[in-house]
Formats: sequence, structure tokens, C-alpha cells
Amino acid sequence: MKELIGVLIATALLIGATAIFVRAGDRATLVPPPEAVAENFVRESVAKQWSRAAELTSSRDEQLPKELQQRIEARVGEPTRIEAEIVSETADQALVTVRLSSRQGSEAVTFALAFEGEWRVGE
Amino acid sequence: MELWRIAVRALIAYAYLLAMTRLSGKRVVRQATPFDFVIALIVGDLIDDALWAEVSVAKFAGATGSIFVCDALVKMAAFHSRFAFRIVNGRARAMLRDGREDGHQLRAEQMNELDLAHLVRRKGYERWDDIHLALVERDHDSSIILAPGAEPATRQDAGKLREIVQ
Repeated sequence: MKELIGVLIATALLIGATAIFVRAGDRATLVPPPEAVAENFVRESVAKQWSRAAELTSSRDEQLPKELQQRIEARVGEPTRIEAEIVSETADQALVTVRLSSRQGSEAVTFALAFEGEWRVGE
Repeated sequence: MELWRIAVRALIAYAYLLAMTRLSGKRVVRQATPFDFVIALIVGDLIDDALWAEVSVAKFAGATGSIFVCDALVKMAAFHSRFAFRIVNGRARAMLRDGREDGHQLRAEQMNELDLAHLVRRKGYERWDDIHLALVERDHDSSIILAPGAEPATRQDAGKLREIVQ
């Protein structure tokens, strides 16, 4: 019983501490930074993991990753390299460019992200 | 991604996992069960996502905490119920009984006669006839119980012998 209570307390403390830090303004240490979210979104989309990619968007709409995947496939094929870079960032908004490249060519996609407890891809 | 942010996440994960390990009550790896190893693998994968900021620290805590809560509940059940204990920890199996191997038990442990001979030799015995029971314990260590006539002589045996000689 002691072990169970201890695990619950330690977990609750860590979740609570994360929430406090995020509320205090942390946007990239205890939560994934915007460039990681955008890069992850592209990777999941390319891998056709629609629901996992949609989880990273504000609308949770699976149409967004599907359209992105079709666009990437048409222009780059299967990307061998995916890199994200922050263009601009405020407390609740960020603009991130994700560059994809393959033998077929390269493509850069820019995403606007909004902070909703965690960074989410807007459009 | 800045280095210091990775370091902060690593420190948090380290402190959290240290607390979890201490709470489990184990002091040495030798006390771990095969299922503890499975849990270690799962947590090892979860920590990777947290370190490289693929998930938030709260999600990492939620996922890892759920695993440890399940583990604590299973251990509690095993502590309070003999049936649950057997399911979770397995049971000792007698591979050798009065000098004869038990084929059914050997198959259940995925062992053959050579493995059994190895296990017996490791305990310092050669003749199977001297063995009453050779057990593979639930932690996969082995125990040997000798047949009454094969047990080492005791002080009482020396006394009996002295009486006979006199």
C-alpha cells in the first residue's frame, strides 16, 4: 500500500510541477518546443499515422495530415531528411519551417503553432 | 534544441525514476523478476521520448506512473493472495525426483536432460541417485534436497558409529 501511495504522490507531484512551470511561462523545457511538435507532425503525416498526427493539431482533424502527406509525396517523394526551424516565437504563437529533402528534391513547409497547454499545429 | 533543456529533462526523469526504484523496495538487480525487466524496457522507451521532448514531462509521468501503479497493484495482490502470487511469480518445479527426471516438468521449464545435469553439477553433485529432489525455484535458481542415505554425516551419525564400534 505504501508503494502504491508513494507512486501516486510522486507522479502527481511531477504532473503538478509541470503544470505550474507551464503556467509560469515555460514553453520548451517541460513541454515539447514548437519546432519538435512541427517536426513530429510532419514525420507522423509522412508515416501516414493520421490519428497521431491529428493529435498534434488544434483542430484534431485528420484531413490536415492527409493533405500534407499527399503534397509531400507529390513534390519530394519519400523524404530522407526532415528538419524544423523556428521562424518566430511569442508566448502563445510560433511560426516554424520544416524542411524536407530527398533525392527527388526538397520542400519547405511553414506552420503556425498555438500554445494550448502544449504547442499545436494550427494551419 | 538547447542543451540545458535536455539536461533539465534528464535530471527530472532521473529523480523521478530514482524515487520509483526506491519505492519498489528492491535494493539489488538480483531481486528483480523477468517482468521487472519488461517494465524496465518499457520505461526505457518512455524516457527516450521525454528526453528528446517528443512528449511533455507530464505525459511521461502519466505513462510511467501508470506502469508503476499497475506493478504496485500486482505486487499487492501477490502479497495478499497465494493464487495471485503463483500467477505473478510462478512456482518451484521438481525436475528430478528420487534420481529420475520429470520429463513433463522439464518441458514446462524448456529444459532438457543436459540442462538438468548441468544444474545438478553446479550444485556439486554427480550421482542422480543421491538426490531426492532437484528443484528449479521461481527465481530460476536451483535447490537440491539429498536422499536420506546420501546426506553428509552429522555429529549424531558419528555418535551412532561410535556406539556400534564399542
